[in-house]
Amino acid sequence: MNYAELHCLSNFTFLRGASHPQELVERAHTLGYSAIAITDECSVAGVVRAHMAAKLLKIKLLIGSEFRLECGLKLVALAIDRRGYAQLCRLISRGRRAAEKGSYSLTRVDVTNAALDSCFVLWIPGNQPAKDEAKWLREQFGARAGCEARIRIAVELFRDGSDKQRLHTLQALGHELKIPLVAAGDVHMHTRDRRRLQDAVTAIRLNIPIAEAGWHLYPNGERYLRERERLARLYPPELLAESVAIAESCTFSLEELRYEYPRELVPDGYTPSTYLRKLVEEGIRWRWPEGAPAGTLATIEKELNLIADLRYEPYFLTVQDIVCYARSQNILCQGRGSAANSLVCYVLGVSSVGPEREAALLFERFQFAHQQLCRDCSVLERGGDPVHLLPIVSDTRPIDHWTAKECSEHALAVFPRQRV
Amino acid sequence: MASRPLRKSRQAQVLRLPTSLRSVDSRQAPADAPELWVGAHIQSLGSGASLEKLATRAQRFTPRVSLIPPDGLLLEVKGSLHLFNGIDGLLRSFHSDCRMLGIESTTALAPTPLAAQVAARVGEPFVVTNKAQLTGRLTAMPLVPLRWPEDVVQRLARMGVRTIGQALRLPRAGFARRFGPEHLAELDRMTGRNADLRHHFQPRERFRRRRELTYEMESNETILAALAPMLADLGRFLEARQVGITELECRLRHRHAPPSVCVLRLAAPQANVARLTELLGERLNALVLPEPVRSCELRSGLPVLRELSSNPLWQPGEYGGTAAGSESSQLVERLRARLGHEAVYSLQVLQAHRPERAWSMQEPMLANPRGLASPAVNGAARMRGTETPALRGAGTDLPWGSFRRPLWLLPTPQQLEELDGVPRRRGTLRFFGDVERIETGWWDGGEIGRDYYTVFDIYGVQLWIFRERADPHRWFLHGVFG
Repeated sequence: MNYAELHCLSNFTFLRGASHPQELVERAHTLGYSAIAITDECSVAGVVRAHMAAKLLKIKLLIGSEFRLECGLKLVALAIDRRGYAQLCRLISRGRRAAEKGSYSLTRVDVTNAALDSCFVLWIPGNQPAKDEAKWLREQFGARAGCEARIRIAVELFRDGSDKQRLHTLQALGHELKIPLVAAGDVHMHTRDRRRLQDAVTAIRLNIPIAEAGWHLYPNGERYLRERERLARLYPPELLAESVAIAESCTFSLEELRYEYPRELVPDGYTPSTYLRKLVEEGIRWRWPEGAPAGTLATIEKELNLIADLRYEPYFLTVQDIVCYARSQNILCQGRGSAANSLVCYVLGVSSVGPEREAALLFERFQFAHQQLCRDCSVLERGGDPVHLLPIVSDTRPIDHWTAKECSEHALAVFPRQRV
Repeated sequence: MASRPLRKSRQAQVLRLPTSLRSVDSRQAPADAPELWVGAHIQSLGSGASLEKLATRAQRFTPRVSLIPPDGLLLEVKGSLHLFNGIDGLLRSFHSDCRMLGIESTTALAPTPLAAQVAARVGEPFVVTNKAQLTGRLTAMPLVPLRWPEDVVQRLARMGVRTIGQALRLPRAGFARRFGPEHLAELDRMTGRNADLRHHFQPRERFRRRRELTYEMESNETILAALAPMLADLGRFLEARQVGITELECRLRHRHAPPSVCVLRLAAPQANVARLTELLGERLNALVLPEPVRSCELRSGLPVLRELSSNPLWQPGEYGGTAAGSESSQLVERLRARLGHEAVYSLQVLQAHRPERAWSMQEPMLANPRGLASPAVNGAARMRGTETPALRGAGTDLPWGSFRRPLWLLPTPQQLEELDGVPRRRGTLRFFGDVERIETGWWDGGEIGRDYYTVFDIYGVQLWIFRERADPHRWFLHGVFG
């Protein structure tokens, strides 16, 4: 019997999950699962590691997230395609922004607004399944004209003495509301010997001694990736088959993503490359009014070629845009990071480190950084209030293009964000 | 004043003060002030001394003693001045009492309690007997001893108001609006403009009576009869104070043997003599006397305030009348008196997964009849209100869907015989319901890993059995459903 695990927390759900995402993927592969979803609570932080492992082992990885709404409703959303992934991430951002760091807050209205029409939604019923929750989810994600129902009831059985009763209740509910059922495992660990770790992190999360944690701990270690034979004894075959069907419908892969920058930075009639070259030429005239030394020009040319090879023009244009804005608002700022050591940044005014500092050598770091899949140039504002830099994020560009992060008390770093 | 102390202090009589120390009118209280208050500010309490002890001792000066915790005491002394050789004599006696208790204090005398208290905190000599002079004497005093909130004092200081006099000169309406009417009221009470009523301190007394018997007694009935008048005294004592006791000690002395002691502990404060007599009788029946009794003594524990309630319209048993709430407490007390204090307890459900540790013995929780609930709990309703202290405030939601535990749990699981891997007990067993897997407790050496099943035996008795996950062919009986 084939099975795909659709509800699985990794240790990126801090102090709940007890296994690394790659461990979960490897174990699912060993057990012969047809797919595994990583559904950390209001986060997709674990999916990159899972993706690397899944790519290596050639097992299908589903991207999703678990949410517990303020009303107590618990659901898992699984991205069907790239659009679904964008909806999912938007919902996560909304929830995280609405609460203190480390927590999130979402209501039914947020879920409605997020649309999630390219996601499967699994309802995780509580101990006493609430019919109104199921009804509400059916209204949101039920079958419509030209669109199949994307809502499922997740049946999660843990040998807690009520398996048959629970299955029966949910079957009756599914039949009444015409919502299909699917098997899921609420997986917290890849093997059952992580139970102790899971108990320990639970006690840490609640900040109580483990001996006093009582019912906050799970009564047994059944929340692991179970063998398919065990599952076949526990679940009716159609529920297991439904999990595989859902996994097959989800086609999204992280491979589809790459960085994209705001296009509106480039005026009409220019490509990012020609526009950057224009700005650089203007910058050369500004830095060296009497004409730049030949060696410097050669370095700049080399750097521009490298930037063109890597297609990083929008990135430099972005940083330059921020710096221009900061200058216009009299906010003291200074680029930093390996890219800021380049002469291009110097002539764009992003950094003030001139060629006499042998900076060109360090620019190679940026190239290396590219290979490590991360961009390393940030704009730092010094000696001022970090909120001063935020307006450029909200005023001149849509906020979703940026992830602004406070580095320290007096600095604000702005990173280009993955655009999805 | 009805309950003025009648005995004149010996100290006050012996003390002869030089005339220069006496104020002009110290022998007689001035006619205009209806009250005179001594305020005492405790600067340091010696070991073993407490404000209550000092207050108890200060009751020899006047019955009107008020406590101002943590460091103040007020005595209304107008009626007692002549008994203690005037103001100076009284203050001297008071200070010598303080010294005996190892307390250092400063005192002041004023016609209003608040003025006396504030002046005592300032610590400078302050004796004002005339209400007309009071405001004038208070003007120079700082505001800080009034102990108003820090921000109020600071705001007043910023306005240049640092003394009571300056505060009194401020317009009343504006003062009340800016700093709160309660502070204006306080100033009014201090200057005597408004009345200042104080609670009087009442020391907590224990009851203690001893009776020498006219002849030596051996039988319990005669001893109980000898105790009866003392118990009646106790009843009057408790009734007069509207209190109850939770502990009563009865000491029976013999000619040679050490005294026999029987202690009655009660679950709820009790003041009913008939109940106490009945319970004491039960305790005495259980007592073996080494020798005849020559004298007996009753000692009560500290009295506790009793919750007084009206009688219900319908008596228990009548139409619409529910059983009295104290019935269970009476039953528990009677059982405890008969079987011993430790023999009666109630059970409490704990939030733990291991069945052996999912309940504990408790003092009978008489306020909450659910405290007597058994660990067999089949629904959420009975679970409410039974949480371990550490989890109080956490959700009382059941941890898993079905929560089914047997009423009777064996002290240690009993191994079952088996045939071909199937457990048997007085015949074959019929399995019923789902398996419940419990794996937990690794942190304290009591780790378990068991699969629990509910089964019926051939007599229809519902049993709770398990097998070890580590050794699946050994079956154990762990409980019997009621």
